[in-house]
Amino acid sequence: MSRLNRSTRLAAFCLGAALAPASALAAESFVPGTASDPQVRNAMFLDADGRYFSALIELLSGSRGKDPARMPSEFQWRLAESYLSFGMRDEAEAIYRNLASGSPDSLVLNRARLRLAEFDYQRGYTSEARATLLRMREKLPKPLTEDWQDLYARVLMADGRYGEAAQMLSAEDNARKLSEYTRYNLGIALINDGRAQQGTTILDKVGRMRAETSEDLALRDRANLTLGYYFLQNKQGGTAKPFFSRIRVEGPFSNRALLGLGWAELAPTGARMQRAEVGKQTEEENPFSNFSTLGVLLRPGFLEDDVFKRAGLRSFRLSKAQKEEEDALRKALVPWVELISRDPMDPAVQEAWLAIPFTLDRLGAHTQALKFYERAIEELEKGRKRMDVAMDSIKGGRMVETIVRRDVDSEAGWEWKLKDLPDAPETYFLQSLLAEHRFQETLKNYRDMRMLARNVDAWRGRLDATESAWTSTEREPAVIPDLIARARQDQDRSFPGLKIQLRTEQRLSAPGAYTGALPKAPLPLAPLAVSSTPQGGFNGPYERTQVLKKRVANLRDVSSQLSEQQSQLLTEIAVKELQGQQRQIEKYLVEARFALARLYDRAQKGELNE
Amino acid sequence: MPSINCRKAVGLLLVALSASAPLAQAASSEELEERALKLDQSVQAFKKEALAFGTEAQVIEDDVLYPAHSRLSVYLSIKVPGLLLKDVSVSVDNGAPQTFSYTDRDAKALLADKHVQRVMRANVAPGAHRLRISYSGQMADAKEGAAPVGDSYEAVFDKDQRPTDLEISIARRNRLSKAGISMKQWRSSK
Repeated sequence: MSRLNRSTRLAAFCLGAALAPASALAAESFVPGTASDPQVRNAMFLDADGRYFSALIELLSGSRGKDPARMPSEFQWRLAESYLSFGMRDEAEAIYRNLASGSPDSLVLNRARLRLAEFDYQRGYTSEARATLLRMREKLPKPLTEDWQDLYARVLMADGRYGEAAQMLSAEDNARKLSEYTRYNLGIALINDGRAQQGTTILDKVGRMRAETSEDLALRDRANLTLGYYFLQNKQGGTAKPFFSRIRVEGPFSNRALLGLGWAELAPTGARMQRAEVGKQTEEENPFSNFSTLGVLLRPGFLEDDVFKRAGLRSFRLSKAQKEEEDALRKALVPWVELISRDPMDPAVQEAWLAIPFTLDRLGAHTQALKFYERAIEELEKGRKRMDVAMDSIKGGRMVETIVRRDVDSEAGWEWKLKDLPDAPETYFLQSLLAEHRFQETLKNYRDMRMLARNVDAWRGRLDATESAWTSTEREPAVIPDLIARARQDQDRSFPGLKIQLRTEQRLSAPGAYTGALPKAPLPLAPLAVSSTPQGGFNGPYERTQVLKKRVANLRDVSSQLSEQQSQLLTEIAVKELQGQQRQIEKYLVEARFALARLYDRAQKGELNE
Repeated sequence: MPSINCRKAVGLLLVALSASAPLAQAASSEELEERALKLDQSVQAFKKEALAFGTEAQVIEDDVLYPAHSRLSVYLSIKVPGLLLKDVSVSVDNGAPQTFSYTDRDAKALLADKHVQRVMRANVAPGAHRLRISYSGQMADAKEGAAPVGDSYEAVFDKDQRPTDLEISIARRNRLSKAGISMKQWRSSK
């Protein structure tokens, strides 16, 4: 090579080195199944992405069928989390049990058990949830006490064991640490257990809490609504009023609050609320002690002046009612007139449509009462028609489709929740149903079945592709030295460091020259035990693919049947709910028609002297 | 992989299905509750079956389409807090690039500590290879209309007869420095 050529090549090398892309450093090793294993880390990503089924496949295919109990604990935690997130609680529990037999972090383990119990509770397996919670009670880490109490109380209340729930929530001296949700549950448990005074006092505190989030506001409203209706049922209208008044004018409970407020005006005032001693409340803790919240609270008489005008009510005079009653009736009309301007499909609004003419009739405004009854019948008829459409939609199987159509590719399993409703005729009526665990859980199962069916379908094509790749004759022939290098690469050397050398044997005689005694003849060797095929037949990729292809059809059949049954079950639950609402609207219609007929009858008889 | 007695399991499922009561028109709440629980158990059994099936199928597919000696897996990790990826494109040598588009949820899931996403699985022969990667994204706190952030990177890696796992990291040295890309090779100790 000439000098010039060599120097040119050297320069080119230097330039190339400067411009060359970064080069990989030496490989870093990881133990499979640990938190450094890229496949485990990829499963963590899939899990966080809500793709629990894919995360499970990633973990299980990566471990190549090894018993999870023999894998590193990081792998087991990850696997159990993914199992539970995908709604496979038995598999998750088996792993948690195995982890518990080692020496895991008690906090992490018990948090996992709490999650397991929550899963059981939501699925309706309350006895299993209770068993899990009781098992962990003895060695419960302090930081989890409140969460444990909260869940255990909910489980007990789901079984109607209110007394035990209340006792358990009050057993620990940690009332201040309990969340407002838990306090609300405690209040409900106490009332249902017959300890109304204590229960209402606790609910009253929840109903006065300083709310910072929309969830807090909803809980505060809910506590006040519960109290309002509790006192209304106990004929303590005067006590119920302030609770209804605390509820926001716009919110999930506002319609029922407006309705209750009106009835509270008409109900007997009753006795004052008796408070029990359950801790002191300072002035600062009471958010109603300042003016900043007044704007969002309903105060009878503080509503816009034109509510009567808006409802088409002209002034009327009392003829049948006493002065005190007239005042009460007039006050009751205020929230109801506001209420009928709202969604006519809400049962609270429908009831207000009847309550107004009833009140007007009591006040002696018979003509207006008559007109309102007619309008009420019109509105209720519209509602009934909408319900018929909704019922047809549900019975036609469109409801389930409409609900799950959105985010259809999600693998979210147990974590999935229907957060908002698609715009369809039936979904409005199912709002309360959607808040129930049994409906949500059945819906989740239905979605999971559909996702799994799609997954099995996708494997049809992939298995065909795998088979044709394996049987293809276009593959390059194996290179023998490469195969040997590959086989040697991971072999365990029995005698590492042993060097084998060849040397010339000095003491061997030349063939035919040995004259000494011969050793005994060697024993005949047993024939090698080599069979033509392994026991049970050869089970290579091709054979395994064939087995899987046969399973596809079976799995598809079962998934179709299960999906069909889930859909049928959802339909029946929805129909049952809607039938209940239909009965209610029918009842209102009958009442309205009957009241209208009575009014006409009285008018004909000249009993109405408006 | 442990062999799964699919016929037995599917048979059990079918028994469970056939055992469920015929669908009544006006079932009581208790009946509906009971049916929901029975059906839930059947769904649980099916999930187990489908998972075993999927795992077995995945193992075979990996073994056949990406044999261990030629398998290359490229993983991506993000160590820049708040960097939400939009697209990532990866290629090896002169192969066609594989491109991923991220939803907000995908991008956020990748931000968590230790999380990686496998962005490529390919077959490559033993020897030196060139990997190219480029990305575009946006910082979570970027103002509306801000230009997207992005970068590209090339590196050479050596492939031997074992499965090769590469991790591409988008990271920055300190809070104020620009995000850079680096590569690390992982090897299973067993």
